[in-house]
Order: sequence, then structure tokens, then C-alpha cells
Amino acid sequence: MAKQKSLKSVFSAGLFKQNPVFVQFLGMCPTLAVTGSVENALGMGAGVVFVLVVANFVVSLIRNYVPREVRIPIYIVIIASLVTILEMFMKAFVPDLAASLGTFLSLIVVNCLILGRAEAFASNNKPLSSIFDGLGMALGFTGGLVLIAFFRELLGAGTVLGMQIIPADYQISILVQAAGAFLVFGILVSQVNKIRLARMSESEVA
Amino acid sequence: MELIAIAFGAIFVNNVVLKQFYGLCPFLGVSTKKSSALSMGAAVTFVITLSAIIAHLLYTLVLEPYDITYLSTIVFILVIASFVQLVEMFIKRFSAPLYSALGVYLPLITTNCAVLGVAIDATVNKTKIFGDLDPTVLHVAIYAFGISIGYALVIFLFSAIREEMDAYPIKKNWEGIPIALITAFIMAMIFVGFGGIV
Repeated sequence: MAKQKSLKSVFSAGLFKQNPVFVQFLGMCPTLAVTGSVENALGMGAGVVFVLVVANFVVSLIRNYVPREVRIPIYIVIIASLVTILEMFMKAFVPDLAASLGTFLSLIVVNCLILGRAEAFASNNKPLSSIFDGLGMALGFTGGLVLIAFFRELLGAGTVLGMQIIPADYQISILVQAAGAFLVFGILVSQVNKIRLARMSESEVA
Repeated sequence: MELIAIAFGAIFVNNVVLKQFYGLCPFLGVSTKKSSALSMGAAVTFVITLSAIIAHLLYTLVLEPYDITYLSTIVFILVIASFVQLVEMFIKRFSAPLYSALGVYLPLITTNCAVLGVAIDATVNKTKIFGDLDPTVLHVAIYAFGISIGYALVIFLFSAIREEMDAYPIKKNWEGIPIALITAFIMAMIFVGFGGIV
């Protein structure tokens, strides 16, 4: 029973309390670059789910055999191999998505979220809880990306997943351009901070 | 003329931070003081330019002839990581003042996605940047140098703004990252204006 609860808390930490996008600010480059449309955000999220879960699992399996001095290069090789598999897979089956993610598909290698979880969690936890940690973090990352992409696509292009919702005359096209990513992300972070600050002061009073 | 266009485009029009979103973690993390922003800019310039040249040579001389370009992500990240280590050891051995200025930033650079991003853009995705032109080492070097000058310029300007901003009161939930992002938004809007020139 205690074990189950800990798995659940490991999983939900990534979703909310330790959300990689809004709380830890890990992997900000793709956060801003691929959130021009919800479709791209979902594609990037799916890629990160695959790489992070498998990388966490593999790192956790070999955690007792890797000398501490060379662990970072080994983790990088594991992650880079997984990303290469993902790249080949996406180019073969969803070439349009792969093209619109562009270089950022390869740049999952240097996404600090993945190396960070390998180092901070998987390198000293059991395989099963590492999988849950990876899943929670990656889904939290995907959720953050989709939230940003939703606002950018809805207000900037008037669409959600390609469906026209706001007519062309009322769109704020700067939001889908590069500059708008900073604005939308900045506003969302400030609102998340507001909620967190309110929670913190509540718990202090209580 | 062609080279000037490549350099100008790399510095201003396709600015690495504000347009392409490479290297944001150090951009927001290190840019709180002007001096550290300058050191970071210098370290990044050095590493990006040289690693892009190495990546280009590897790609055209090894990966393409043997038809193993699908390995480029793995090869580039390993080459960059070991190259950064080498630079760090070299600077430590030969120049103590340079090491104290750049030393702490060098390990950070391995995970700066601008380095890998520029290396991949200049080789695997070369049509995106150079169009029909088949880039030589010189083209790649100029492009990578321009990109890193653009990085250094923006991170320095940004740190100057943030230093000034410290003097003013900001609402608690906007402190730190959110206000930095809004500042970056305004800078990015200004850089959009360069778009018409090239």
C-alpha cells in the first residue's frame, strides 16, 4: 500500500508541483519554439514522453554498474540513441510533423529535462518508479506545451488543431510569430506564480 | 556580398535567441549581471564557431561519403561534449585569468542547445539557411560566428536592461522569469524590424 502511494506521488509531482514548464523552467527552448500550434506541441510532447520514459528506465537499470566519473557521457549516449530512433521513426511515419518540428526534434538530446531526470531521479531509484517519474514529468511537460500552444493558436491564428474558431479579422497574429511566444509564456508563468503564492500564504496561515 | 548577407542575417534577422529560440536557459539564467553575460557571450562565441566548423568537416568528409548521416545527432553531441572538455582543459592549463572569467560557463555550454542547433542547421538542415548554395567551410564559419555574435549581443543588452530593472519594484508574481520573458518579448518585437533588410 505504501509503495503504491509513493508511485502515485512520484507520478503526480511532475504533473503539478514540480511541473517542468511552469515551475522548474526546464527545456525552455522547445517550450517557446514549437508552441505555435497545438499539433506541434502534442508531437513534441509525444517525443519527449518516449525519450524520457525509456531513458529513465535504461538509466535506472544500469545505475549500479556505471562508474560515477563517466556517468554523464553514458547518459548522453543513451539519450542521443533514443532521439535518433525517434527521429528515424517520425521521418518515416509522420514526415510533416517531423518537418515542422525541424531541428528541435534532434535538440531533444540537449533538453535539460531529460538529462536532469536521469541524473536526479533515475540514477538512484528503482526502474518502476523511474518509469513513473519519467511519465509524470513528460506528461507535465506536454501539458505545459499544449496550454501555451492553445492560447497562441487560438488568439493568434484563430484555430484549435486546425479548426477555425475566431474569424480572421479578430486575430492577434504576433502571437503565432516568434516574439509572441515570450509574451504568452510570460503571462502564463505570472498567473501560475500568483496561484502558487496564494497557496503558500494559505498554508502559512493554516 | 554573399558573406555579408549571411553574417547580417545570422546576427540580426535570424537572431539565435529571439527568433530561433536556441540557448534560452543560459539566456534567462546568466543574464542578471553584465559581466557574467559578457563572459558567457565570449565562451559561446568561441565554442559555437569552432564546433560548427568541426561538425561541417565531419559531415562532408565522413558522414556523407559513408552514407551514415542518420548518426549525425549522436556524433555531433559527442564531439561537442568532448570538444568543450578539451577547451576547458586547454584554458585551465595556459591562461589562468581567462579560466577564471570563462571557466564556470564552459561546462554549461554542452547543454546549450544553440551549439548543437547551429551544428545541425549548418549541416543536416543546410537548405534552411543557405538555400541552394552549397556551403563551404568559410560560409559555415561566417554563419556560426554571426550567430554567436548575435547571441553575445542580445544576452549583453538583456543583462543591461535587467540590471536597471532591479531598482524598481515589481509585483511579486511577476518577479524573475515572467518579467524577463516580457522584456524578451519587447526585444524580439524590435528584432522583427530587421526582417525587411535582407
